[in-house]
Amino acid sequence: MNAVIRTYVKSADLHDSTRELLKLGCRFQMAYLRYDGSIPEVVYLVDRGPKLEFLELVVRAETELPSLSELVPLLSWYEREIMDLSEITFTGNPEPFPLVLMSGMTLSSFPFDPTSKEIMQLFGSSTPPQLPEILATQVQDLFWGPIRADVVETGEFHFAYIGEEILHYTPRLFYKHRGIEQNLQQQDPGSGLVLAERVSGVGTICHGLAYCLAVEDALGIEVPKRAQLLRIILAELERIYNNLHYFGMLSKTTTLKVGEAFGTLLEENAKQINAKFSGHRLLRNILSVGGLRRDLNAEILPPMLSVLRQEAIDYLESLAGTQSYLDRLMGTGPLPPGVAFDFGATGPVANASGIKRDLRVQHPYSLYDLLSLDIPTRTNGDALARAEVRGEALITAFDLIQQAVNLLEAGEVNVGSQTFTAEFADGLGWSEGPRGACIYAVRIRHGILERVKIKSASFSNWKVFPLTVHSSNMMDYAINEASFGLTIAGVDR
Amino acid sequence: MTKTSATNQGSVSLDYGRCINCQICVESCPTDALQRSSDLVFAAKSRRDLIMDDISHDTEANELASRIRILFKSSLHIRHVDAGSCNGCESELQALNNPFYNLHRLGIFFTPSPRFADVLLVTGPVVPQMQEPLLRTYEGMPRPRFVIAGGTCPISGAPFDFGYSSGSGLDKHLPVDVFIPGCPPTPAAFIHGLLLLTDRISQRIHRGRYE
Ligand code: SF4
Repeated sequence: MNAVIRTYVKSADLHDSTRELLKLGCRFQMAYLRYDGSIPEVVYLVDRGPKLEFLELVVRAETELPSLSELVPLLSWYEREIMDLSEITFTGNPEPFPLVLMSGMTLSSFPFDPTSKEIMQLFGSSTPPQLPEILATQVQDLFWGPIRADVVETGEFHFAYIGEEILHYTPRLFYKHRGIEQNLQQQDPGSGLVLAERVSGVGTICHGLAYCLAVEDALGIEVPKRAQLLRIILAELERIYNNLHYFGMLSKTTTLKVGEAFGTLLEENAKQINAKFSGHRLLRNILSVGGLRRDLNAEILPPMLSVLRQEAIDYLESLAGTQSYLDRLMGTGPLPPGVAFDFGATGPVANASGIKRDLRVQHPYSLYDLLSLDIPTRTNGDALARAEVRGEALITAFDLIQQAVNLLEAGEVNVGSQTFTAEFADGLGWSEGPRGACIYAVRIRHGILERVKIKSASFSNWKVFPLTVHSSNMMDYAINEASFGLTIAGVDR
Repeated sequence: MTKTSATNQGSVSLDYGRCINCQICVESCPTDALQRSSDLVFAAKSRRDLIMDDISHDTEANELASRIRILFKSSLHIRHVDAGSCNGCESELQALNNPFYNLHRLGIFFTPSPRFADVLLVTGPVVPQMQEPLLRTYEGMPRPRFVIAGGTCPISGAPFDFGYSSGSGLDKHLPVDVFIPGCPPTPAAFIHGLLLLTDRISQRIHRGRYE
């Protein structure tokens, strides 16, 4: 099956085409710059609905393109990233200042043009970010970061607040931008996986798998059934340890010391199970384009996981019975469904705001369609709803592993020594990670990667998160952030 | 992506400071010269101790530094800085505080402020946009102060040592006392590196060979 259909539009017709697609209930996923020979084009990837091919809306890039951010707010960050990394401007983008490059930093030339042979470098020293102008006199400014307390990722947050109330919140991310999309260019499709697995360390499988699926789609590789099922097991193991970590952090921010200790201990148990099963605590170095690098013995899992599952259920129950925990989550950081949809919320964040979307169900991959899976949803969209959805996703992950183990039969786990290559091919791959949708688009030319676009779940959810912080209060900030369960490596790339 | 390169004599050198433990080198070696090993705890005080080659070198010995380090045996405060990591190293560093590893029992603590820190523990390849915050943190630390490169990224930049926003490792910016390879290092490897810093445990790798 072809994962994508493609339509070319003129830039003058972009707004009309977009309106039509929105009317049909389509949802934009991402936008990125790609080259057709030496001609730049901007690609909008659109989800047309369950089990339908994705749509690529392609517009030949001129130096100026109309911004779609007014119609589709989630595209604003994608447009800004394109503006940072090319000469294209989007007229009408509501925040036309740097995103992935800090103000003050300059690129010696632009990436992504396959005909350019220049070695480019990012240089300069960063200057203060663009912040909304605040005229009232009592408003306080707080800059928090980029190096923050504890072992956390780098990010700088600006709060404009009066007393306890936050008037406006601006996260300044992308300190850690590594330019991975450019690093993947010119790589052999097989070895690009090493980098894809390291886009987001705690999303090794969701990134690695989406990458493999994209390359396999491009090269027409059929992955053996056993490998597909083992990939499901790996993906669900990733969901388990990530969600246990999530509850550890949620307990920490609600100052439940015992809850934190339990959560992190269960996460540790899960990582040790990962190591026993796959050889790596973060499940690295096992995926490969075409299947898996080696066979895995899934029979060792059920006894270990049934213990962990029960412990997880007991843990969630005791959290759900803790008044102080519930008090802090209830009504905190509500995200209305319409806003969640427009700004691109994905995964548990979207599910908690009543959006019933999950790629495992809507666009099944890797044989997820053989398993039965309900998407947990809530309608409140507050921190408690996000936590409850995560809790259900955690327990469901155990059940999915059991279902996959039951279906396993002996067989090959990769395509063996056959070699696959392509003169020219595009591929799209996706996976539903613990934090939501992860999508890779690849273009292969002369057998090597010419362009790879990475859409990570955290990129989507970081765009939404600030909307729940404005006019909330300082005391709840950390809890609200933990309830989103974001990573910074994923968004910064 | 273990870096192997043939020198002019046709010998092979192996740099654990670039190794991300993927073991693809083992799978793709045409002559089976490389074997899998389960040696993981590899922290070293000299970058050169991570390189296995045929060139002899002097081991750096600084007795005064070692005497100072011993003073930190029973209480060591760490300031962690993420200089562009994939968050894998953070995931394992955070695990040090879980009840299984319980780092506190060793008298080792993470501290929020560089002003209270004895050690700067850096993860990530040190990408351009992180250079300034990293150096500012280091400047804020009282002396004597130590620096640890935690993970393969801050040792050599690998696998993010090319491209417009790459890094080539921490020792290009700061003097590094201990290198802890691994992608990510396991919590046990991190603990080994921290104990090595304060001479509470001995170094297990010399000139790329595990002893
Ligand atoms: S060493 Fe590996 S795990 Fe650690 S930050 Fe670098 S890529 Fe991630």
